[in-house]
Amino acid sequence: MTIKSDMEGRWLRKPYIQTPLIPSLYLSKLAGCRVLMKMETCQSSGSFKSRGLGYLVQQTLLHTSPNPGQELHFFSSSGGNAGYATAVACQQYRQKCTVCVPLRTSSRMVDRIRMTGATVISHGQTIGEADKYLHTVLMTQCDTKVEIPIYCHPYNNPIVWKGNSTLASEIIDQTDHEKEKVPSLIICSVGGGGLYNGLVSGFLGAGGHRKKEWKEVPILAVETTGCATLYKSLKAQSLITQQADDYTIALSLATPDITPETLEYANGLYPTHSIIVEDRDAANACIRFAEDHKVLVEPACGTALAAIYQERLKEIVPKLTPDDTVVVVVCGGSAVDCQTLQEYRNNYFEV
Amino acid sequence: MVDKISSTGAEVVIYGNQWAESDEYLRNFVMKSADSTTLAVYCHPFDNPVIWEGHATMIDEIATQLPDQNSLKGVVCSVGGGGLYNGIVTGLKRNKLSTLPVLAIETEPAACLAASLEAGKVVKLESVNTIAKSLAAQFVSEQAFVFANGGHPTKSLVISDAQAVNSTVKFAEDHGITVEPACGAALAVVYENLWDKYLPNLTKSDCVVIIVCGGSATSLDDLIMLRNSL
Repeated sequence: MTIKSDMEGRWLRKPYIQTPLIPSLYLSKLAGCRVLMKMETCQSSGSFKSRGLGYLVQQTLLHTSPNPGQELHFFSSSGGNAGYATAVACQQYRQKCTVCVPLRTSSRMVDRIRMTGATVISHGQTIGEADKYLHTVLMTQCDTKVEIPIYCHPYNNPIVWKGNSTLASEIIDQTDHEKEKVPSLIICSVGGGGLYNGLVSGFLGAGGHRKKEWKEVPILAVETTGCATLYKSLKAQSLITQQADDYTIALSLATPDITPETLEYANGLYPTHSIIVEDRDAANACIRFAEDHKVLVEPACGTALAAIYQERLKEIVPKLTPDDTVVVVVCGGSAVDCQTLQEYRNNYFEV
Repeated sequence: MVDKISSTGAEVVIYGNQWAESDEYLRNFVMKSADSTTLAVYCHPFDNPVIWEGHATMIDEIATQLPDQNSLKGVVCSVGGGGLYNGIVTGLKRNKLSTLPVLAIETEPAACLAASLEAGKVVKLESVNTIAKSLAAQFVSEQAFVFANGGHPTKSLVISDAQAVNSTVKFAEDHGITVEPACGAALAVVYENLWDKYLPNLTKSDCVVIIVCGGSATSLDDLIMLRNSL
């Protein structure tokens, strides 16, 4: 096997895995129906972002022809999981990667990203500032004779949504394979809308003999009150951006806005319910989930789980029975450890 | 743990100071008290070939999930009574991997396989006071001894409770999953840099599979306590 074909063989390997879709005894009891968890925590980067960003890196690699002596150089400006997912994919495909993170990013996360071999630069107070520095300074420094700079937006890219849509395709395959009922509801967290857009396009693209049902499976989009851009945009019927003094502990959801496509889908093109939960509810969900399932998740992920732990499903689907199924996307995320959960317990729940 | 089991709908009876006493009570009293309309079915926690057949599915899956089987150089697992180990060996044999070595890890206070291999026969330990409670079997199944004593390439490794705890805490840090110290024991091969002695000459393209066996008995408070104890 030549070096070139060995490399190309490696590039054909997927940057994400098929994750377990497993029933939760605890969540099912709370919800009064069968709750299945789609465990994106199993991805190599610890979150579903391996699907979207991994796919972006892979597709760019497969469809770009650098000149001899030229290599691709991937750039990401996420402060967390998107940057890490990009870096992990670049490590898998042996590509150069630079991630620019805001100064507030934990050294734990910076070390994690560095371990992949990516270069990590810290700059700016916000993701916005890190992104600007990435574009105006870091990417312009590339010597284009030897490097092709590739910008990887954490969520606002249809290729990222296409990668994320594999989550929905798997849910369909896994459910159809087990001959289980089509779910009554899919629950997911919303930050910028990349995951939501992916799920919608995945379900709309359903095939098979139950495709009509799959194309209409409702999505419950959950945000925190401190970053409720979808919720507010739906109420205002126009795109609302995050305000300067808005704050949430679900930092991975704290994007300045949602994509226009997210609002279009949620505003009538696709059956969607939008709810908001408090930071305290998201924190509680993380603590309960760690106890119930031994998996530590970030508040961004706890946000979706809060819809069940706070028993909010009845307001969305009043007639849920024990025979019905609900799928919750456990989106994952690395920015948590047991100390963080202890702090949440102390801040929110100690008497 | 009792609550977790009850929440499935099962009835939980608490008896005895260690497993052997509860097991005897179950078989001699609880099962015999079942009425004539009930067919009582005893489920040993690990010493049953049917259980090993089930555990062997782990190897069936590994065989299909690994992109390059030739790179596989070993499997690492924790050993309590040997049920998991027996399952792994059963699975390796049925997947044409009979020469693949298994590293069988025990914690020092409950190292009954290592003691048996030393004695040349299955021995019973008087006490098994290990923090890795799920490994606290006083003796291994006969089949585990047979496999480890020449039936299948096996290396027996004994680590300390502290090493199991250290690995449990580090794994939670690295992968966001709370496992029990019984599971941390297998991970200690990497976290405590022990693999070199038992699987020497590994290269970057070689692959070793560690069975992250799991376990539900470690709560968030337990994890925090283990972390603080280091």
